Amino acid sequence: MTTRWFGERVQRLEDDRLLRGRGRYTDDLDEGALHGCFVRSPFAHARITATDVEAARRVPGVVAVYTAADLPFGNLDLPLLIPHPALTHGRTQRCLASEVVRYAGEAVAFVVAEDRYVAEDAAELVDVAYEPLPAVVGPEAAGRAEHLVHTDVPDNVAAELAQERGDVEAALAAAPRRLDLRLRFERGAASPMEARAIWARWDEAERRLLVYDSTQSPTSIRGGLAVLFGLPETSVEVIAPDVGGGFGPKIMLFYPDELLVPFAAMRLGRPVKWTEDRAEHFTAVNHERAQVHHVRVGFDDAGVVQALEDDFLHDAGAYTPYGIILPLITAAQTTGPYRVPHYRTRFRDVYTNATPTSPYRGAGRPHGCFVMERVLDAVAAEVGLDRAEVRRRNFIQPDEFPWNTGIAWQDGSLAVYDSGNYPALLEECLRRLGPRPDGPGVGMGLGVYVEGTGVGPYEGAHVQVLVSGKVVAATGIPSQGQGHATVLAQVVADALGVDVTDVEVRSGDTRRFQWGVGTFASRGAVTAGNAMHAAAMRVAEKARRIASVHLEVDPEDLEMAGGMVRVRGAPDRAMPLAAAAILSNPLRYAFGGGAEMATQFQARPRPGPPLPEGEQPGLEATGFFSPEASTWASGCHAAYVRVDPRTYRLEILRYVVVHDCGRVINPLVLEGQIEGGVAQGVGGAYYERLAYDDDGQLRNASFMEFLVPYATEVPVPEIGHLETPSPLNPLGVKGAGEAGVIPVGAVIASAIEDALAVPVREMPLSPQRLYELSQQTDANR
Amino acid sequence: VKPPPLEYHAPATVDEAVMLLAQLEDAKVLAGGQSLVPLLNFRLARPAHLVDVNRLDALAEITERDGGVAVGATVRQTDAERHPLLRERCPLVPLALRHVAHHVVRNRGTVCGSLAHADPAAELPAVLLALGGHVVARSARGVRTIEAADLFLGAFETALAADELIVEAWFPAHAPEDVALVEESRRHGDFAMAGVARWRERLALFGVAPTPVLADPARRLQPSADLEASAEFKVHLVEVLVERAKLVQTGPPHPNPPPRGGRGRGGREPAGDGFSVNGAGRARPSAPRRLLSDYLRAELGLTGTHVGCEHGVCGCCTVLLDGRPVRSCLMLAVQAEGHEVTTIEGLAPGGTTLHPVQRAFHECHGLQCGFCTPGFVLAVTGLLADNPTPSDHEIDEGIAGNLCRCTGYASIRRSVRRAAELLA
Repeated sequence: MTTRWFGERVQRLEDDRLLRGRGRYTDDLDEGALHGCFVRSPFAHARITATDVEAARRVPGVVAVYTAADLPFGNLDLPLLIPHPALTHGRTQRCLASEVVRYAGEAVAFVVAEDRYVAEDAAELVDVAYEPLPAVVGPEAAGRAEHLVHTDVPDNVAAELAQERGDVEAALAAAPRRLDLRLRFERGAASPMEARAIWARWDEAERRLLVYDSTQSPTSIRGGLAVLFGLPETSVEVIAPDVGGGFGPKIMLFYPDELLVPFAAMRLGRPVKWTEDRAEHFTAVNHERAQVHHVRVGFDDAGVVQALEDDFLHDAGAYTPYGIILPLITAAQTTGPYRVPHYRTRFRDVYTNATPTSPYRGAGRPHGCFVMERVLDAVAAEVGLDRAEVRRRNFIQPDEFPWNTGIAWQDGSLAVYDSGNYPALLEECLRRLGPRPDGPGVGMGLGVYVEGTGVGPYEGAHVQVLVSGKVVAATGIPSQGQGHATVLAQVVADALGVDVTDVEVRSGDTRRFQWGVGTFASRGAVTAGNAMHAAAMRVAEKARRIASVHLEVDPEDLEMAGGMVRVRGAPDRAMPLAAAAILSNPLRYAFGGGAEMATQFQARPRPGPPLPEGEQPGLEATGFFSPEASTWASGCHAAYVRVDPRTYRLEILRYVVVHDCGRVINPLVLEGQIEGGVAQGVGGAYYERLAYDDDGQLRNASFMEFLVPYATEVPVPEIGHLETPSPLNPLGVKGAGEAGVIPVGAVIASAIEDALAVPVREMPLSPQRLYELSQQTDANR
Repeated sequence: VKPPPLEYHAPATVDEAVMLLAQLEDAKVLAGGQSLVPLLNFRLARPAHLVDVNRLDALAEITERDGGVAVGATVRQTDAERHPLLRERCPLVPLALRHVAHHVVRNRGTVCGSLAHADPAAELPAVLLALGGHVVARSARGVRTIEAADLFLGAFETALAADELIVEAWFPAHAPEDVALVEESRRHGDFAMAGVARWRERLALFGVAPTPVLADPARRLQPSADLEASAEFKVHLVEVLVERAKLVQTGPPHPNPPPRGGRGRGGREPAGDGFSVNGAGRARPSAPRRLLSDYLRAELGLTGTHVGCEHGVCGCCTVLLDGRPVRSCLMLAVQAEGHEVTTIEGLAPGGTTLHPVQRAFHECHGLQCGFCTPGFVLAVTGLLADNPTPSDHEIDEGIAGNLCRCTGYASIRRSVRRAAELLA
């Protein structure tokens, strides 16, 4: 019987070295490296009038101090990664600010020293004179535009986009009932446990640049560095080694250090590294989440939504390096699994004097889900129906796929849902949730979502069977803990009929595979998974071709199993995969290990040249997968919570997830993704909030005050799986990386509203906010 | 963030310590360091000299005295929490300690250090005030007793002179049914938004004024707002907590198992001998300001110890010090002198079979990116050595104090339960 790895709870192959402390994270590299340290703006908005670095340069052990004037690319605006026609006023920062700083934490100077301690001593001596300017704090203030973040951007509006399906105005006018809601999301931060780090070495003799970077996209960094430094791409190698969590913000092109560290290494002729500390991570690395929505909804007495109008502000921060991906995703995903025949969405992406925003796990989806689910709870209350029933009445039905939303998706096409069964998700989730616990202060919350995953343009993979019979595989997308080395190995092992432990997957190393895009948007399993499958299937085909000559059978009659290529129905007629690998490479010299069988006097005689026309040596192949459209995962979460009605302490009594990401490659890994997502969702719903003061200073830039939950705050979710395979890829998979987080804010809001009978219109919540909301509600009663 | 340049002194006697404090300009006492070292790392404190009192074994005792219990300056919070004398004679102290940060922090933090730090939201100052205890301060000039009511002058400000060292804190004995401690904090182990320590009718409020204050119906509280609670909410919370503190019947303290691990060779060895790492006696740090975490990573090449925050919250840098988990980012490397440090590399050395805790994490998918993993594995190793059969609640409390951003902790909880099975 053939072992099938796909679908099995395979324990991870990458664990052993990580458990022994033998992982290799960027900061673990040293090799005599010099250490960098940034001088960052303490002001949210200021003009730089003078910079004096002389005292810093004189500190013993300091090797260099760079300001913008010292950089050949000092006047270059960094790339705007994802241009969009609606982004009429895109702005990006420079590597080091020299005229105006637009957020507290913007880099101003870079010190390089023998040691980080000395670099920090010197950084304190860099004297920058600032003339403070009025700070624009929060999207509402940006919208009022009393002050400008960029003098050449009128009204602080970077982009504006309106889209509509149906006729919202008419449908709203015709609707028997209408509601008006204002909803708010505050800023949050991904906070991976490893902050960012980069290490670079320039080999002058070979004129090659080697960079280790805790990035989610080494292939793009490599392309960018080659262009910027005028080097052939083939002379730049970028490796994302073990990366200690990413969740979105580790994909940028570029953070200033990603240029400065390689630059300093080239200029100084020694390896240079910079490791971000937690304090600077809070302001130097992109944030997410702030949006303000104004929603009008029209519905009937049965709770069926007829029209939805959503007008929202998105807080871009000081620059738009990542384009308008976040508000685009929010706009496309707001109506989620619901029909909403008439829908208009308009956003303005506005500049504020704060750290730029770019995707963080969920990437605009939690906002959209929060908006829609809050709307449906309000509709349910208005018509006096059960909240679940209102959802049932608005769902897109299982026989209605593909479902075209008519709204633009993040890849430029329209968002079209490929498959799903939303009613089944809801019923299974409610069944698992069970009866409501007794006692005061208990509330039930519910949220249903879709998630566009597996976005293109493409990923690729290379698979090679070594002469030992072991398999090595490589893909461009790096792992930040998602288990690529296991999950992708399962796909390869199935195609080649080998044990999963015989497959070694390397990812995120341009030396091993130079093409690809990156790890983001829940796309790894779909894009790299199917690319691995394609490459491995080609290898299998080649193995059968080689074996067919030697076993004298038609390749069609051969199967791959147990590390062998064997005749179907006659398993004793077989050839080890290792032998096929040896035979794939015609040899003159036997070097042992069975190589003699491929040499000219030993190999089985065959007509034609030793290497047949069209064949390449080696049992290897490259495969790519480029999706025609995104796959749409979906799920339903429900919870019981208890809120202390006087202290507003939140206790999550029960949390249930029913999730559909198509066919599941590894349930163990998938459940880990969901559990982690739920925890981040809980953090974002009740604990984590970036607190800016009126001057644009971040007041809680530490783990003391930015409250990432501990085990004591996070529930253990119960998880159920449904599988509606995607018709859009050979493996039938959809992405799962962000699923756990998307509806959590909506669910907690719904449950707290139910428990306390106060209207919840914002995220995150806190005891303080619930106290205020309760006071207001009491005053209004 | 790294500590600024400083000079480090490790006196062997109390006399030597107070002489140093008298002679040195701008010196600061370093005890557990769980509050001071983060301030050094952020360069918010930059004393010219640190006088490390951790080698003063004379101050490591808990003794019954004058109808109460005296706790010496170097007594770790964990040891106080478990000490039979305190549990039987002064149960409010161990009760309060359960709320002080997390067990990994309490393994290093001291009772007296917390009093000297005088954080307005800390539990122990309020306990001392509620009970009417005192501290004994020594200097080259002599010894004096400072009553709790006179000790706390303002936020992070005490009546201690610059040359004075708290040598002990004294807590009056009390019956378990006479005391309670209730507080509201955002996360487990965080400083309280508001809290109440009660002895009979005497209520000390914390988190609601620059110092702990005794409840007085005639006086209106005027707390300063902080990030988590407005002044109004703090007043509201303290009203609720006062009601609850009066209702709480504490009863006799839970009979905790006695502490394991411990002071080990406890700094009794002469300075200059270095310290052992993973069983090899090879470590001799020279730069006094270098953190233990940096020393292990950069100078010994033990890069399995990860640095995630450098202010003692995330737990990625957790190592075992004489068998107990501690934060290596909150210790200077020179402080490890005479101790045994175990890093993740030392748990299953030389590529041998995984340690049962490591194996459990593998089986239960208790790790994703792996960055927090060494800290978790060592914290759990310490937890299970201390309590081989923890309840679910004890597991949660035991791993709170380490942050993981990938797993959501569900699989880590399963890993701890599995590790307990494997170790049984």
